[in-house]
Amino acid sequence: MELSRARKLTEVLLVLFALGLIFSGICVKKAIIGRALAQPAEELMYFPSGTFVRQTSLGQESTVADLAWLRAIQYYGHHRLTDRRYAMVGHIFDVVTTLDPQFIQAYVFGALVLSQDAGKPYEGLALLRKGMRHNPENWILAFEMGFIYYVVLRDYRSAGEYFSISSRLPGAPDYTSRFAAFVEERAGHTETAIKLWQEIAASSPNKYVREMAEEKMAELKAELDKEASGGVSEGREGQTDMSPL
Amino acid sequence: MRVIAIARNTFREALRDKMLYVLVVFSVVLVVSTRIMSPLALGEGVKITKDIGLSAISFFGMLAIIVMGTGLVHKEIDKRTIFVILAKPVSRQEFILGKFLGMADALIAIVLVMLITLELTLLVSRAGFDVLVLKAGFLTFIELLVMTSIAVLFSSFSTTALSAIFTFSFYVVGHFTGDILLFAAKLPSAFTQHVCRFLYYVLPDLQLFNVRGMVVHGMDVSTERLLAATAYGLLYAAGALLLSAVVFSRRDFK
Repeated sequence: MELSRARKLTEVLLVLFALGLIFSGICVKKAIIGRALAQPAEELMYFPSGTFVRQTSLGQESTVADLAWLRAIQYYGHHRLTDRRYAMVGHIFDVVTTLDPQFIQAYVFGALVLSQDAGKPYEGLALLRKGMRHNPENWILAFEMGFIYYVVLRDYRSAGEYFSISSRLPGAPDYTSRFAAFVEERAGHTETAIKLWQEIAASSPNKYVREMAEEKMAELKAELDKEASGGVSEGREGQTDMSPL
Repeated sequence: MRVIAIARNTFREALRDKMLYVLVVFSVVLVVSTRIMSPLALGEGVKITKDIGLSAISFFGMLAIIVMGTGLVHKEIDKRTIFVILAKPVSRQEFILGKFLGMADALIAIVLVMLITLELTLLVSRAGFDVLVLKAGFLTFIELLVMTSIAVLFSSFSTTALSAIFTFSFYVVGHFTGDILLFAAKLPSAFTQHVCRFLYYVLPDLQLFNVRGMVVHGMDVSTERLLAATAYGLLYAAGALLLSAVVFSRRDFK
């Protein structure tokens, strides 16, 4: 009787000890997440290269690319709501597109985030060039190149070239050739940038891209209002009618 | 006729081993992942559904081969039922062929039901019926046939556990054969280059059956590609089966 009671007591103590260990582990984890112990660069430091993941995915590259895509969205969403620093965004989109070179939305979204939010437009262009190498017939990627050249880098000649390339590719909508012509006529005009953002917003299934476009359009419209109230010449204001759409 | 009887029995055995539970797991995985992941995927929900569906067909099919296929022959030897079968007018070659066909029947049933579930999920999520998904599913089935023939080959001379390890190793290497050739080009020795080239041709090239990445983006799989991959798969499976028959016919059960 005494022996069985002692055994029960030991079991209870062991269970309590085990629970205590688990609880301590949780506390340590919380300390790592909540304090300076968590370093921003550590977040995706061990996210492997796309080539490595591709080789180890045993023919399931596309599905693994989906998981990396979901991780990329989480990463972007988290930093968008917190510090707005996107140190690893180039790496993660490179992984997604190495795993699935036909994933057009990953190139488009990655390039937009890199050029607009991360302040790395040349990395964004490199990502799009990678996409164009793998998908030479895709008009969206060439249009996006023109878009970044126009809106971010203000390199109107290159923008015109890429809009023109885009307009010649299969399935390109009419507005690509209209933008190609329009950029040559009215390089540098804010109205063109607004129209471009409108196109991006209208054609994207991505909620974040639409939000980004709305933010930028609001900024550009405010800029336009400021210019107008600052006594911009009538001639220039009248040019707003020359919309490509 | 005797082959069909063995095949039918193998199929029944697969059902008795609760292999169809795989289908229930598949349906749950597909429906739950579609419901959970699609809203998070920012417009890429349909792609994710197709990807997960096709990967799951490949994964669960392979799981069925590892669990069932690798023990096809050895189990009969272990339980000593092989003596009862071979005492009847059944040749060892017929036994091997029957076992393979029975497993192939079970795989047809599994792949077909999983493909129908995937198409229904796509219809429900308003993506519509996708013929390309059927093409990818068909090539995945041929890949599974090749792996079944390899499982039967290993099962004809080794234990269930070892067969499972060997079959899975072949599955892994089968997705790397292209890399073997790239690796060979970088080697300094001509002999090792020849060895690598030999392995490149002898090992099954499972990437030939992988069109999943193409079909999820709506890229068509040409009839030539479909026929060539099917011919390669069937020839490879036939070769492996013939080898199994030879190995099995020389085997002493004492």
